[in-house]
Amino acid sequence: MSRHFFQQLFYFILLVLLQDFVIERLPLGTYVSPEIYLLFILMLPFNSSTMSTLFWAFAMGLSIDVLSMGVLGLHTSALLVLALVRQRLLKLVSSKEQMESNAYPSSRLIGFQPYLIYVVISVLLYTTLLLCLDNFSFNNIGHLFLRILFSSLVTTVFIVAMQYAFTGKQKTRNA
Amino acid sequence: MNNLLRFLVGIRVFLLFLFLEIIAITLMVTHSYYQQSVIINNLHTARGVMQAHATNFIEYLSLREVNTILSEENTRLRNELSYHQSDKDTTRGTVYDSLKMPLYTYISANIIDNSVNKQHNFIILDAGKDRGVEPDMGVITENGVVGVITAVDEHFSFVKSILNTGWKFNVRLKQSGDFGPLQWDGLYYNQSVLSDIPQHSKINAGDTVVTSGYSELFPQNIPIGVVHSYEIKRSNFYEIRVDLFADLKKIQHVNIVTFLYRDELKSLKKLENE
Repeated sequence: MSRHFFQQLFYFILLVLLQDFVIERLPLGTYVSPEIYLLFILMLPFNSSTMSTLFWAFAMGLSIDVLSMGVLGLHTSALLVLALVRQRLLKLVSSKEQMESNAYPSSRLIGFQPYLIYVVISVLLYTTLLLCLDNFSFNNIGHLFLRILFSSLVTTVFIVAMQYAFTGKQKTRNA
Repeated sequence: MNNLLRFLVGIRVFLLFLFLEIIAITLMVTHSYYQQSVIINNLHTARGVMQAHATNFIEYLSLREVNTILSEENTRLRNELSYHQSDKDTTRGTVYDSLKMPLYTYISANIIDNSVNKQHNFIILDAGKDRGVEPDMGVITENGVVGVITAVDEHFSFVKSILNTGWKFNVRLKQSGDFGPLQWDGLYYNQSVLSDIPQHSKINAGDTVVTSGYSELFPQNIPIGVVHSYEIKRSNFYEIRVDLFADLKKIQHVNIVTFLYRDELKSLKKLENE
C-alpha cells in the first residue's frame, strides 16, 4: 500500500504545482481554463475504492481552492461528484480483469478510443459543474456554454497528452 | 437495529460523499475574505515566497516594457510639475504652503499573484500592515483602477480585482458628468459595464470614463477607460460597455491610495449610521 500511496502523493503534489505555477500563468483569457489536476483523479489505480477516491478528491479540491484564491469549496464540491461516479465510468470502458488490477488507467491499457470517451465524459461533467457553480446564475448562458465547451476541450487535450508521460510503461506494476 | 446498521454500511460510500460535499458547500456559502486572509497568512511563508520568486523571473523578462511605461509616466509627471510650479511662481522661486498637505498619498506595491479567468478575481500584493496598508483602500495603476484592498496581513494584502463580479464602484462620464456604478459582468477581461446612466444624457462611443471621487477609495478624475458601446436596458437607463485602459493581465506595479482624512471620514460615516 505504502509504495502506491507515496507514488500517488508525488503525482498529487506535482499536478497541484503544475496547475498553480504553470497553467494558471498561461495567457489564456476568460474563456479557457485547463484543469489538468483532473488527471490525478482519472489516473488513480483501477482498483482504488470509491471511498479513497473521495478522500483524494477532497484533498485535491481543497488544495486547488486555497491556491486559486477563489471561492473556498468551489473545486472541492465539483471534484467530489466526479470521484463518486469515477468507478462507474471506468467500468464502462475497461474489462473486468483490468478493474481488479492496481494499474493506472491509460490509453495504452484500455485503448485510445475508450480512454478518450472516459476522459471526455469526466471532463465535461466536472467542467459543467465547476463553471455553473462559479457563475451561480444563468445570466450569461451563452458565455457560460462557450466557457464550458472551450475549457473542456483544452482540458481533455492536456489530459490525454499528459497521461502518456504520467502512466508510462506499466508491465512491471500489473497485479 | 441490525438491519439499519447493515443499510448504513451498504450506503457508506454515499454517506461519505454527502458528508464531504456538505463540508465543501458550507465552505462555499460561508466563505469570507477574513478566512482567505487567514489562509494567506499561513501560506505566505511557503507560497508567497515561491510566488515572489516566480514573479521576479517573469518581471525580469518584461523589464523593457516596464521601463517604457515608467519613463512615460515620468515625463507626464514632470510636465505636470512644471505646469503647477509655473502656476504658483508669480515671484521668483517657488513658495510652498507648509500647512497644506496632499489629500492622497500612495504606497507602491508589486503584484505577486493575479488572475483574470474567473468570475471572482483576486490579486495579492507584496505590501501589508508593515507598510501601512489597511482594508478598504483603493488600488490604482498608471492607467486606471485595479481594485480595492479587502484583507491585510503582515507583509501581504488581498485585493478584490476590478474583474470581480461582486464589486462595484462609482465612476463618472467625463463629458456629460453623469455618474453610475461600474461593475464587471464577467465576459471580457478588458471590458466592464457602467449602468444607471439616465436616458437623457448624451453619450458617444469614445467618451472617457473617470473616477467620480464620491468615496475615499480613489481621487477624482483618474481615467479608467472609454465608452465602447451603449444600449438601453431596464426601462430608462443606459448600460454602457467600457473598454478599460488598464490591462489587468499585464500589470505588475500598482499604487495603493491612502486618504489623509480617512479616520475622520470613517467616524463621520459611523455617526451618520447611528
